[in-house]
Amino acid sequence: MQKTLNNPGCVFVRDNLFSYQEKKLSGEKNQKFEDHLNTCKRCRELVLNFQSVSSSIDARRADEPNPFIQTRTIQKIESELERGNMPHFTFSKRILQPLMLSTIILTAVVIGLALGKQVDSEFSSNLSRQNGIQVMKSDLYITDFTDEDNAFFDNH
Amino acid sequence: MANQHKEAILYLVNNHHKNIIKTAYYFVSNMQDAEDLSQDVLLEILRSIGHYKKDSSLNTWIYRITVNKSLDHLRKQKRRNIFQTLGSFFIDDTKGKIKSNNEPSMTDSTNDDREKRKILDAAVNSLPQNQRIAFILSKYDDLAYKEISEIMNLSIPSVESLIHRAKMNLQKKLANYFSEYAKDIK
Ligand SMILES: [Zn+2]
Repeated sequence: MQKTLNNPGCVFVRDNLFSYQEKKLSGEKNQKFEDHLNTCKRCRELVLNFQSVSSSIDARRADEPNPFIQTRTIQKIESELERGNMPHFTFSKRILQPLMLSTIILTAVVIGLALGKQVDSEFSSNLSRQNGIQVMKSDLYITDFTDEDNAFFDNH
Repeated sequence: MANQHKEAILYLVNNHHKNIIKTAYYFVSNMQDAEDLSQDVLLEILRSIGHYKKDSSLNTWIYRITVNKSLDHLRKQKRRNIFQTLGSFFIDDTKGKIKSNNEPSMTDSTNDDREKRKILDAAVNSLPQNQRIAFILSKYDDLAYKEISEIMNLSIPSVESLIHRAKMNLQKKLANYFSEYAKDIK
């Protein structure tokens, strides 16, 4: 038995099961593989078994999740988040920078008003105190999506 | 809840949820577990979205979280893993008929199908971790080497080598398994 299994032809088949199945063997090697199969019953069985088992990769890929899972998941996540597990949008640089800018502008406007000066500079004509607060508020909700993801939010 | 959160949830669920479930399923081999895991993955994404860096795509980041959560899950349930017996077959080279856990109501063809899946799952699960991740992302998720290299933070040649070694190991394990004379080969 040992002799048969250590036969170079058997070893060659055992070492090239994937390559044969994926049709990645060169013409010459493919011929060598199939020539051996024609003469060796055990290797023929091995190849059939191997192909049959590896076909369960495709079977698994064809499995689909429960069709109602999306609705259930949205509900579950919303309730999870409402129970106080809100995602905290971290104060990364990208959020802090605009936030600080708005704060500086707001402070400048407040100081300007307190000094009793006319509010006619370019800055303050655009940014009333209320506007400044709005800017701060919206900055708090900046999220870090990619451009493709931002495109989604821009459309909403 | 802020509208932005609702929109983010809807966006993630509509665009990424199914892929998350499927990838988790390829790792944990159980759809119910994969669905539960996908909710953890989505929550993790929503909680840590502020840490997300734009140097990788959202997709890459989501795959990475999904793979990590799936591996965590597998580690936690390792002891009661139904494939444990089979796994030890491949690791210890112990031979013997595979015990079937099938319900008696199953038809023969379904039994056969389940049996094949178990054999393959056990062989894949017995691979070293990085080989297993690369193999699953390539053969099940059908991702390109470049995408896998980004998810795993490895070079493309490293990914190619992992997948090659995974295949060599798998065919050896399966050939040993199928050979009636496994003892003689050793
Ligand atoms: Zn042979």
